[in-house]
Amino acid sequence: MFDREPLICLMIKATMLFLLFFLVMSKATLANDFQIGKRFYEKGLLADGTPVNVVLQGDIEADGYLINCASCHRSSGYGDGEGGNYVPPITGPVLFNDYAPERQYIFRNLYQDVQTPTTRAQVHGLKQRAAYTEQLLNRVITSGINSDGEQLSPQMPRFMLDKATLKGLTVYLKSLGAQNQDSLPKIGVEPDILHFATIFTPDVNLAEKAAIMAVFNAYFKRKNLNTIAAQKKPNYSSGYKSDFVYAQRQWQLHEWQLTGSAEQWTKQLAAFYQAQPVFSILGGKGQRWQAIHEFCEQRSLPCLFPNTPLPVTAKTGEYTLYFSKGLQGEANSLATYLESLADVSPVLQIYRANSVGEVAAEFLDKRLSKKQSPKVISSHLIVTEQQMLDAAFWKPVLVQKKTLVLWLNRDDFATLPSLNGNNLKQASIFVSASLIDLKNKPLSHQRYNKALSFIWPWALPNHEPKRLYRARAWMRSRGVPITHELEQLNTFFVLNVVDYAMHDLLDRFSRKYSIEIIERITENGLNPGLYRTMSLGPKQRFAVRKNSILNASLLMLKESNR
Amino acid sequence: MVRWKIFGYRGLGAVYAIKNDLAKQRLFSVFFCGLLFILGVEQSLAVEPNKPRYQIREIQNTLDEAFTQKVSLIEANGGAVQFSDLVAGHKQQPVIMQFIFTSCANVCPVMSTILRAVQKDLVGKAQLISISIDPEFDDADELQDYAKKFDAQSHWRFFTGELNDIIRLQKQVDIYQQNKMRHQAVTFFLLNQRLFRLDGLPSKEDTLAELDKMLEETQLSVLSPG
Repeated sequence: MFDREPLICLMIKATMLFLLFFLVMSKATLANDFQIGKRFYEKGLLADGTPVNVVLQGDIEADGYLINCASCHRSSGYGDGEGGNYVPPITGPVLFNDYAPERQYIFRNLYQDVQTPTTRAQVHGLKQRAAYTEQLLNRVITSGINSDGEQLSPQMPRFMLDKATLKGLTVYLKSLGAQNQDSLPKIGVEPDILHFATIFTPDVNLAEKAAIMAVFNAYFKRKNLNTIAAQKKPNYSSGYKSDFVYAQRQWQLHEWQLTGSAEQWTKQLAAFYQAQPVFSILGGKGQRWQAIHEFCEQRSLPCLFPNTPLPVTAKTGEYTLYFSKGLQGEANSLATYLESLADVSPVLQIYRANSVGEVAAEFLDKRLSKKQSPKVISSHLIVTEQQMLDAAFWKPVLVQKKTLVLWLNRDDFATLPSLNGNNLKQASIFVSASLIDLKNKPLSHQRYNKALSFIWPWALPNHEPKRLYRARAWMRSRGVPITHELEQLNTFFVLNVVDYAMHDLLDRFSRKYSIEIIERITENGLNPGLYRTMSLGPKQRFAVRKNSILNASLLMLKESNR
Repeated sequence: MVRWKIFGYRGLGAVYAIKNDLAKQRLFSVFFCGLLFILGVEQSLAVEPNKPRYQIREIQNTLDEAFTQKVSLIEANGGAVQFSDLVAGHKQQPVIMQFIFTSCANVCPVMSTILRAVQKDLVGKAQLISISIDPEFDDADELQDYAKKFDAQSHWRFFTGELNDIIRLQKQVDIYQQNKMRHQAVTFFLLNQRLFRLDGLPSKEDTLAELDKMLEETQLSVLSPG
């Protein structure tokens, strides 16, 4: 007899296998669709890898390289208001739901950013529209007719889109801005608490750390008290502020102190992050930042404005923002200055082995060798880690007819003998002002003369932006002792920037969007008075771009005028 | 049960509150806001997609100040140029000028795309100039990449310079915003001692048509057919 049981078993097995196969395949195509959609959104490439054809302003042809979704709606999908040019958000929850005026967002639009009459009219207007479906999305992207049958502005390009790309784009747009309440704690957002961290590497001394933490603590304390006050009387806060109270949370700062050598830091950071995820890393200090930079980029974790002489410049990240290019920027500025001189004696760079100065010297060499003519010749004098610097060391160095570039720290620099009355044979000396911590500890100027110049990354003395006085007053009134003004003002800047950004974000906890906001507001007069100018822009990662070459005689003149 | 609420005053409290002077003021402000709101809606109705997306006006009295001032610029290919020399050719040939920056997100790419579209029609007939308002980031290399991205031909030139010089220049032509991220879409047309300012983003056809009109008005005849 034919036994039926095995056949049924077989059939069940086959069905299960098929189901499993189907499940895996559908997941795979979904992932594939997502990638296609992401690539189209960010690079304007179709599913087959060719750039999409675009028509904008009615009759101007372009392609996806020039104009794509991300270039105007930004990679977060939350849109933009650059130049009073209102670009609406196109995140998943916005597109695929009916759009009705919502008080909090209308107010945001009304009160923020510069607005042309057109924009003002746009944001004042009662906008409503039906939710988008895949078909309607196709129609609006290709022909500019929105879900209610209205024509969009000609500035929204019309894209020639194929089916596969559209499918991918739909998947990707749905993912943008999608916020799962359960996953929020994984990025440091809890119902009542917003977590931040700051990082210190082992080279930071206790006094520096205490000075920075004092600013953090004072700011967090005040911020949290204000939040409590606003939450206590939700209907009575002035203006429209009470509409935003629901989005406010208590800020909590975690101090991540790294130990050991740089190779061990990644592991330590991962452990910190696992114990308590944070929304972003604020400030902090360390001589080397590579490991932290990479950690932040891997986790899509904003890492905002650390105090470091060696930011990662080779490949700029998406999530790590810096004050400046640090010593690389200083080396470049010095090279540009030296090349501009009619006659330069050969460069002799002096630094300690295995110090940050060594990296700076490499930057200068690299930059000097780039230019063909007139070539500045450079050689090195490396001081070993144990070697003491004294008069015997400096004497033969100072009598040479050379351009001395000192990449030394404060203690080493202090061993330089008095230049007054010294028999300098036209030697000129350049010193990194940041490495000798000149901003926090002014020099006793009798010892130096015009042979000495500083590579000066800050606003020129007595030409600081006025906000310096406000920032100092803030610290004094909060009882923060000003012991390390540079790091403290930098920390104050970070806190200002993040405060504004979180205010803009409300409860849309997109880290990408927070970076986009910071790119936009950094130029808005938040400069803590340290730098001549500060500014960022889309994809820009260094807020301060220029260093001055400041002769010591000028600095002394200014100081004696005080 | 009275459940309604005005300005945080609930139920009968609201009735009482209205008797107060303060509440009367608030009531007045509601009417006033309502009025503004209605005006706002009217204004928004006035903005329809078919309405012109740009406007042009002639700038009076700026020309001499703006264009004889000594402002040094650096061209993307490295050469230093005086701004006044750069635009001196406008007596023979129109100069079309925009202020952009290379990392700009939503305005500049569209502005530059317009120049990219019209440049083919203007070979030998006009000079196109794009000046960076973010000169400390936009060095010569950045600008060259940008020019390449937009297929700029030789009559479309790109400039950077010292930040202060470029701020001065922007102030001269009244487009300076404190934050470059607020910069607006403006295109300048400089012909035969006259300066026109186009605010907004026109199409290719509109741009060429407006240029023709300006040429007629200023009696420059370089764009005549042939």
